[in-house]
Amino acid sequence: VAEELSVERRQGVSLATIMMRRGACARELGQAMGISLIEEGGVSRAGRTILVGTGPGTWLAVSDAAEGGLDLALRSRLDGLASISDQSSGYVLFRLSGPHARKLLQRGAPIDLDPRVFGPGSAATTVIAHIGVIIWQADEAGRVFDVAVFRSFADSFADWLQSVTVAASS
Amino acid sequence: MVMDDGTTTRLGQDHYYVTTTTANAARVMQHIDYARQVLWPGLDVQATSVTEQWSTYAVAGPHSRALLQQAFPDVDISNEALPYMGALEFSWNGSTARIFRLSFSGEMAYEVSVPAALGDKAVRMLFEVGETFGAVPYGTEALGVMRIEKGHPAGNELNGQTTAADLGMARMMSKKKDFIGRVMAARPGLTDPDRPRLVGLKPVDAAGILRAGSHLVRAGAEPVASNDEGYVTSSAFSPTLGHSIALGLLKGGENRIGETVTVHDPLRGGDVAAIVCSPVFVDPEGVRVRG
Repeated sequence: VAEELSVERRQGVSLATIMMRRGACARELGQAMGISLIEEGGVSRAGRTILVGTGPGTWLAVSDAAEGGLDLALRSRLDGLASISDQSSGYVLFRLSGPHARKLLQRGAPIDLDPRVFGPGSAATTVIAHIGVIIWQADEAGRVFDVAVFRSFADSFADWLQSVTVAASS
Repeated sequence: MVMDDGTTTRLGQDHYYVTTTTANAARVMQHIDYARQVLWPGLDVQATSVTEQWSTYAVAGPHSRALLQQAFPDVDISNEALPYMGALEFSWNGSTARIFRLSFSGEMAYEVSVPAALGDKAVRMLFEVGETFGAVPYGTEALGVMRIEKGHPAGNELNGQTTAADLGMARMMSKKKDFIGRVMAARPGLTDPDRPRLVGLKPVDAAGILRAGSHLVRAGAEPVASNDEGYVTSSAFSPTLGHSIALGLLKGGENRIGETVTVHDPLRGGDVAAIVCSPVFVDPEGVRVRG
């Protein structure tokens, strides 16, 4: 099973919440970012930054660019269009990879993760083991999923992962 | 009604940072979202919980400024640059850090915030620098005693039945501007001068022990429900004063300073005579926090 599922806590990732200002629209935000921004939820990519839809007019920006200051960069780029808050320390990002990653998440998430409805670029805000999570499919093939968990819940989430992985292997 | 207590810092023209009590953070966030989504959907206001983003450490005591000045030599935290209730933002280890000059303990005090990933590093550094100042960690028991000495209301007083006026904070409510709770606060039942108001209590005999939960009756009155005029919300032994002190909610409280009342405790035995006083037992002029 070890080869079939790997779990890592992603390091060196910058995070920020983007909340649209009143009167602005997703199209304007997308234009300012130079991308076509998905408003309904889901993952939009802008270079090394992705925007994960977490609610009406709100996104979690995730950047693996080494240099920090994601919040400052977004603040100047989206000036007047959105309010930005640094969350780089706010969440821990778990990356689950392998052919069983989807099945494992489905054991905890009370939403449908079937590839027909949760495919490339899909994202959802839900709960696993009573812990609030943001989940998105991070590849095309459906073998890599990222899960954002509030920092203080990360160890509890890891405990859940441990227990459910063991259960799956036995 | 008072829902919670905390501080609000204005970080920019349209950027605010709000803190709450630990237990109520989620409820306050929920209420802010309710207010901006349901009550005032037309307002251009966005709110995000950053509770998990920041690690915050209180540095309190007469040496707190000197300690922080040594910990952050590039930042001017003199009284002029950072007066009481001021705040400043600066870069530390490549990240944004903040210092708020706030005091819950009543001592000269600051709150240092760094991104949570740097929290461990920050607190170790503060204790390292603090060694020459004799810095020690202080816990919630010490904080609880100090806040009672200062008459700062906390969970026991913010029980969902008290108004800002009951807690002696009527002056903090604007007479000119609107705010959440303004209409309710003016209702006759909530402005009745006979409402239970926050007072301090000290035993007539310094050896007397005031216990939380005790009921307050007029001196000489029979301790029965019909004579009940309030109760003790918080109590502690004050190391500063050397005797028991308490906060309580007493009918018509602020007009009864100097009166002797009976603190009645039918469960743990004995009545204690206590003098009604200001809830601020230590440093009422706030000299320490402004030093």
